[in-house]
Amino acid sequence: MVVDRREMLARRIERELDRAYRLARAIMLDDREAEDAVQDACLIAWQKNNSLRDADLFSPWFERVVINVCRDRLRRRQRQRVRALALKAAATGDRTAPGPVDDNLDEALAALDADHRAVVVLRYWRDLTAEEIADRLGLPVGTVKSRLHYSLKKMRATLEATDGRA
Amino acid sequence: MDEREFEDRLNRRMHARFDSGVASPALRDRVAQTLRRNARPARPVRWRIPAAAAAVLVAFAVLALASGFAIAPAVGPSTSAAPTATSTAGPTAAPSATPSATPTLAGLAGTVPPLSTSIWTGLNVHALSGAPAAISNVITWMGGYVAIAAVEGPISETVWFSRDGRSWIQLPASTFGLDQVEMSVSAGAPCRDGVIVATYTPAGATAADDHKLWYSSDGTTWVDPTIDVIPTMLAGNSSGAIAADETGLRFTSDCKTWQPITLPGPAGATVNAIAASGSVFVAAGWSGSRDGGPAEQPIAWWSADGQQWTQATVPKVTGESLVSIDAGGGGLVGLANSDAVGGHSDLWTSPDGRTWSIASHNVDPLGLQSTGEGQGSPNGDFAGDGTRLEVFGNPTFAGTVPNQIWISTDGIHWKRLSIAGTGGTAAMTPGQTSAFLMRDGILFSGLNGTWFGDATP
Repeated sequence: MVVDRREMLARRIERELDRAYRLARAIMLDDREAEDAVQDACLIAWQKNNSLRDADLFSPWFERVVINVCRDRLRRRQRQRVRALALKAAATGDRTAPGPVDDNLDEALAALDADHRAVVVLRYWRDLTAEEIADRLGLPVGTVKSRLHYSLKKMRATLEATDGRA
Repeated sequence: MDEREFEDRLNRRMHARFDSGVASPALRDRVAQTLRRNARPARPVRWRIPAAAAAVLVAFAVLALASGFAIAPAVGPSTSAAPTATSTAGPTAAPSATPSATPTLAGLAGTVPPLSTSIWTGLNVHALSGAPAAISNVITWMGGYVAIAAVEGPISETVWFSRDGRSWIQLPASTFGLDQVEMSVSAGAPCRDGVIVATYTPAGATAADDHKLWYSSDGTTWVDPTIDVIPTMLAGNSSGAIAADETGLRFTSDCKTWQPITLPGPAGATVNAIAASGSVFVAAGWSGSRDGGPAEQPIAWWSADGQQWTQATVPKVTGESLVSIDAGGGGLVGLANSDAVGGHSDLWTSPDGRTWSIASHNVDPLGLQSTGEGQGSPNGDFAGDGTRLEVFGNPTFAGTVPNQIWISTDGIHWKRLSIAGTGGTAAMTPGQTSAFLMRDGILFSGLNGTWFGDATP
């Protein structure tokens, strides 16, 4: 039974890899960071899958793990920047990314903190509703809406300034 | 362009930017290797049948080969150079991973020193042996200190206990569940005569499982009472503690059971920062800015007991709000960032949390660094323990001179501390250390070591 379960888990992880990578790239805005986050998420899913009580919910659960890993890595990066311990250069849009380069969009996303960026990505790239995002992240719907509102306002200011310069 | 049109455009741009792209062969290879390396569990709790590990490895290998997963040994430079799953890019990958061990308190030297109320003029800095390096957080309470230190390896953080800030012991690796993958500490604070710590993991069974709040009366034995809030901020004193996130504020008088707080003023206000001194709890954030409604306004509250809250008087600066607050014995200091003016920050002060004003000097001793866009930032990091305030950092952005440390009780009058001792130069090297306000001095810690600066009157 355990073997079967692990086989299924490996298969599920493999199936989710592409989507997990794209999600991580949208949040981390950096190919290398996205790959590291996905690798961490896969390890967590591999080791912690016993905590998933309904196997049919693997996909949203794994997506939540990816989001949480990304948020955690971004928070650590932010905290480390504040603490001024041997800093790693902030990630920037990677020119090797398969999607078309949109520096202004990347800049607007990068100006958001981890929590706000994750909500924006889920709403405007994953096309989830506020209720679905709340369920995915374990937040009240009001908090999701508040974060979306704040993020949109900030992104709009950034995009209008940068698009206007182009 | 109206709001809806902007959202539609953003939606199209997000899809154009992020719809394409697949996991590279190198990533698939790394994942396969990661799972293979971890086929045998490090911690038995995750496995019902320990003997299954080998079978799983075989099964996964078969599956991997059949499904195109690269499970063979790394071939080519891209895989051999790839980081491991547990590597933490950047500075959390710090000194050495310390083995877990049962703490032997009998071997712990020192006693909790009395809180120094004298005026400090300098520090005599010396290196500590046996102390953790790369300390990222120190939580001070009447029973001593709890420190969180970054390490490299499958456990990214370790927990340490000290009575005097000089002699340290490491708590077991299982403390706070930090031996679980990617578990980390997000906040800590004193609470009555004990201490509370908030932890976070990305992979609970449900979203609510991701966060825990721990309590200890002695700094070494911890319990995790249930809390229905995800605390990203904690502050406490001898009356209890407050916990906050964007959903609101909670208060506890026994450090275990929490009650929601209804803050007066506009509905939907967001709390950005909290603090506590010996006599007052404070919270601050912003309200408004809804479409067609009032523009974003700063807002703050204060409470003597943590349960009855009153709206504070704050400067009317549209688009600005406090993002951090620190408490000294003679007043509080807050850093306000502007959402309206890119890169603009103000320093706010308050004698008691009831009335805030933009500081007449409007700059900390080290200067506020304007970035021109986004949020401004101070050149130094603030800290407060309810008795005194500290700011540590470098007055030059590039760090061309040694770091400085300044002390104040009210956030208005600051005094720079002189630095002496054998560890002074190393502790004050720009960009290499963090500073933590202790009862009778300053603890410095970085990747290369940890130092204690004994306060000299």
